[in-house]
Amino acid sequence: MDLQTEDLPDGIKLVVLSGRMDIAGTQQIDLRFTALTATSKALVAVDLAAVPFLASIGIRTLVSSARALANRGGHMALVNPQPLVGQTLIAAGIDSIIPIYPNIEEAGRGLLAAAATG
Amino acid sequence: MESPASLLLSNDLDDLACVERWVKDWARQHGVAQRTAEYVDLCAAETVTNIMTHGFGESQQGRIELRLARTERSVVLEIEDDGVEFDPTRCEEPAEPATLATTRIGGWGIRIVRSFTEQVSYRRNAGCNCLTLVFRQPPRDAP
Repeated sequence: MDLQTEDLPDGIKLVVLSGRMDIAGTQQIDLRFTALTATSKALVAVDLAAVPFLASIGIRTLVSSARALANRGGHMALVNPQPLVGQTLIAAGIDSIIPIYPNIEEAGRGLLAAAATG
Repeated sequence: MESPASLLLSNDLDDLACVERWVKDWARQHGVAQRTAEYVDLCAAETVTNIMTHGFGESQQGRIELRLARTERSVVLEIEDDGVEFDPTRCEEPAEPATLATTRIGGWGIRIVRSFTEQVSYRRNAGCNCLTLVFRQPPRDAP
């Protein structure tokens, strides 16, 4: 797997993941992904458009990091998952605890709104 | 049902890498819809990961065999292992996550497998776990 980051306007960090998020893939990005949650009050949009497969080990990384972010006053949003990945997130119930948006613009608005309400 | 194709794995997590290619090659050869193949790949990965992680002692050599077959309307994946007895069909459905702060970390594999399959059944046979997952072909939308 690969992980790229980009700083967007309004202080939002975009994390672009690519590759199969199975055990091997998740191990490749887990440390760097987790490190992104170490910033206080960070707003993180995770672009999943280039992730064709998400196993529960990958869900663990997403949820653990989202929780760590929330504990530091930050927020995470998931963006544009492929159909199978979107179905996997819904099957696991993740859509009820981490918001999923169809594009980065809507994710940005959602993150800013979440930050505004604390 | 036709004769099943099979894949033999050890309980080494590195062996998981074989599963995706095996499922996709088999699906292509048998005219299985791509979406069904993706569901099979995902559920095989979840189940085999769980067996490799929890089914054997630390230095125990394990055997995991996957068998795939198709009928006119379904794809059948059988997963047999000689690890500790475990019937996932008797596990309670993990609760729907309520909040990020309170959600239990883990337990998603069972939810995923139940969502992407038509039927899950288990039997204990000659000291082995044998799990059968049935996928509709062509697939319905899941979950």
